Amino acid sequence: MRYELILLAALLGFLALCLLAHQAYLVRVKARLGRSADIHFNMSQLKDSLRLPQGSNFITIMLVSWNLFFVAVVFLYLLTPQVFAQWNYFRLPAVASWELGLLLLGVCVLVLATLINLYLPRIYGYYVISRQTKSLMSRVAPLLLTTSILSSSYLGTIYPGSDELAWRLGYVSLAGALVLLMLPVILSYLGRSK
Amino acid sequence: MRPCVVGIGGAGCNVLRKFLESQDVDLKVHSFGQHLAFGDVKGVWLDSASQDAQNQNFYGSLAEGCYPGYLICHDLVPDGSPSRDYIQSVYGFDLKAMGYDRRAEYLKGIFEIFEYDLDLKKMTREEFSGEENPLSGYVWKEGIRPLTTLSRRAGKGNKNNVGNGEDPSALSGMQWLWHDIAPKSNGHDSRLCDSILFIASLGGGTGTGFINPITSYVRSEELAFPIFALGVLTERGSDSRHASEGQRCLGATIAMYDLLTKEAGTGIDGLLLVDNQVLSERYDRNYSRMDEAIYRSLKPLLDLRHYPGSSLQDDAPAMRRVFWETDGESANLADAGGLLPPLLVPCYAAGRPDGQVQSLVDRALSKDGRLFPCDPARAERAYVLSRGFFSSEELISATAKRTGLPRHEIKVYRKLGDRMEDLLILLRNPYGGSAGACREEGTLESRLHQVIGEAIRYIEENETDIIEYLGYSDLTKEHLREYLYGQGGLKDELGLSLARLEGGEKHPFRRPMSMFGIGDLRSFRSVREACTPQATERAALEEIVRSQLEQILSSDEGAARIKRLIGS
Repeated sequence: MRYELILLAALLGFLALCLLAHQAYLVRVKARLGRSADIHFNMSQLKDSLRLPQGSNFITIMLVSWNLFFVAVVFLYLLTPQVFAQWNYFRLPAVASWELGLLLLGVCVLVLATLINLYLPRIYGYYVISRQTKSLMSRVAPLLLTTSILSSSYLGTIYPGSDELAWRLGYVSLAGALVLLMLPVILSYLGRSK
Repeated sequence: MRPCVVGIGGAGCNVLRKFLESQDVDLKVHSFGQHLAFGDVKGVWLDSASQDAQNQNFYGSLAEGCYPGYLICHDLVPDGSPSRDYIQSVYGFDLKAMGYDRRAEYLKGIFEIFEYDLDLKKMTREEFSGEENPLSGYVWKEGIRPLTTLSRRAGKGNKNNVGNGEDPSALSGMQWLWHDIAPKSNGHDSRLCDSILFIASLGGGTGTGFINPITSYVRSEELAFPIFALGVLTERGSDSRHASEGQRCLGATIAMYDLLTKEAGTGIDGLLLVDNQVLSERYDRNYSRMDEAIYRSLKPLLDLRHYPGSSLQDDAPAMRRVFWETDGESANLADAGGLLPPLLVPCYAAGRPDGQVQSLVDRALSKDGRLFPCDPARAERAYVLSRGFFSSEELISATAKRTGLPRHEIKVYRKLGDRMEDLLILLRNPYGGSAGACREEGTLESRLHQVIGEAIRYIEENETDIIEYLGYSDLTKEHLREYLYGQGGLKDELGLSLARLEGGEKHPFRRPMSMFGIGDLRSFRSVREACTPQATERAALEEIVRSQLEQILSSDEGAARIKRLIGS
C-alpha cells in the first residue's frame, strides 16, 4: 500500500478518535454528574446544560476552517492521479482543462463539506475554551490549511511532474490544522489524563 | 443570573472591564456578531469626567453606538441649559462638573434637588421632554435599560444591537451562522439581562456619589426588577490624588448609609461588599490583579452552565427573593419598620478537583478567601455557588460545619465545572450578636467601625472644607450644615451607628437621611422670600394697596356701601 494511503488512514483515524473522545467526554461528565447530583437527566438535557456560546468570530472562523480542511483533503489526494489513479480531478478533462476548473472543484467540495460542517463546529459549544486557545486555533489553522491547499494546487499545476517536498508540506500542514481544530477535545482529554 | 453590569466612576470602569473582556477572538478588521463576555453579561460604564473616557481605549461612546460603551452622565445637559443655570444660581452646583473629586455629598445634593425642588422639576420637564432628572433619566434610558429585558417590554428597539432577543430571520450577513451554530444559552430564549449589578468604589468620587441616586432612580422606575450593588471599599490611607482617608471614609459612609437605609422596594436588593484593603494586601497593590480577583470570585454566579434542569435556580428574581427572605428572628428592620437590604460578603476559593469539599469550603471561608473582613460564624445565611461536581449534601454539610448555620439557612446553587473547581459563598450579614466584636481584628464590625469613626472625625475637623469649599449657595450651605451638623444630623446618626456596632447590633444604619428633603424646597423658599421682601418690592406693594383702596373709596358703589355700614 502506498504510504500516502497510510497517512490518509492515520488522518481519518485521528479524526475518528477525536470524535470518540468527544463522546467519551459527554459520557464521563454524565457519569460524574450522576454520582454527585441527586437529579435525573438524560444526555440531551446534559448537552443543553453544557452548551456555551463561544463567540461569533470564533465560530465563523472554525466553520471556514473546517470547510478549508475538506477542500485541502480533496486537493491533496484527489487532484492528481498520484494516489488514486481512478478517482481524481484529471478524470474530468473538461473541468481540468478549464482555467477555473480548480475553483469549481473547490466550490463543489465546499458545498458538500458545508453539510458535514453544520455538525462539526457544534462540538466546540460543549467545552470551556480559553481565549488563548481560541486565538491559536483561529489564527493558525486557516494559515496551515491555506498552505496545504496551495501546495496541492502547485502539485496539480506541475503534474505529470511531482514534488515530494510539496506533498509532504501539504500533508503536514493538513495534519497540523486537524490537531488545532480538535484542540479543545484533545486538551479536555489530556486534562482528564492528568 | 445574567446581570447588566454597570460600572460607575474610575473603579467601576476597571472592574467592569474584567467582566466585559471579550471571550471571542478579536479579528481586528471586522467582527461578525455581537460582543461576547463571560456569562453573556452586558454592561456599560458611567462616568462624569469626559477626560477619563478619553484616556482609555476599551470603551467607546455608547451615544455613538459603540459597545462596550461609556456614558457621561451629564451629556444630555447642553451648555446653555436653563436648568443648569438655575441650579448654579440657586444651589451653587454645576451639573456638568468634570468629575466629583471625592465629594460624595456634592452628588448627593445634586440628585436630591431633582427630587425635592418642584420649580426645578417643572423646568427640567419642559427642557428635557418630560424628564424630571436629566442625569439619572439619561443613563437609565439610554445606557442601562436597553441592555435589559425591560427594553422589550417597553417596545424599544436596541440601537446598539447588543441584546439579542431579535427574530433570527431578521439577522443579516454572517450573523445567522452564529445564531444557528452557537447554542442558545441553556434554553434561555433571550440574551438580554435579567437584573442589574452596579459596581462602584466606596470612598472614591463619582461612583461613591452616584451609586445611591442611580439605584434609587432605577427602583422608582422599576419596582420589581432585581437590582444589586457591589461596593468596593477603598483601602486605608491617602490615595494617589492625595485625598485623605477621612474624606474617603465620609464618602464611603454616606454611600453605604444611603444604600442600606432604603427599605425593600425603594432601593437595592443587596449590597455585596469587597474591601480593597484586603485585596491590596493579598495582591501587593497590583490593581489589575485586584480587579481580576473580584471578577473571578463572581464567576460562579455568572456561569451559564447549570446542572441539567436547574437553569432557573439562580435567575435574578430567585436570588432577589432569597436575599430578602427572613425568618423573623434575623429580620433586617429599619426604624420605620420596613426590611432593610442585606449586606453580602463574598468568599471564594478555587482548586483542582480532588474530592475534598470540606477543604474547599474551609479555604473559601478562611481569611484568605474572604473579600471583606468578617466572621463567617456570625452570618445569618449562606448562598453557596459552586462550579464542579459536588453533591448538595456535601456542600451543605461542609458549610454548616464551618459556619454553624442551620442547614435550612444554606442555599446551594451548582454549576458544571471544567478542569477547575471553584466556590463562591455569599454570607448574609456576617456580623452582630456580640458586644465588643468591633474591637476584634478581622471582623466586619471593626472595619465598619473604623470607617464610620474616620468619617465622624473628618466631619468634626473639616467643617470649613466641607461647607465653604466649592462655592455653594447660602441655601445649600444651610442645608449641608443641617444635614451634617444639625441635631439628628448625619454626625449624630453615625454616632448612634457606632454605638450599635459596639453593642453587637446588626444594621448600624437605620434612619434614611437627606440633605434637601427637609420640607418642600419650593415652599421653603417662597415662604422665606415672602417674609423678607426687598425694600423696592415693599414700596411697590404699598403703592398698589393704596391705589386700590382709593379706587374703592372714591367709587359710587364704595360710597354707598360705607353709608349702609354706618347706618347699620
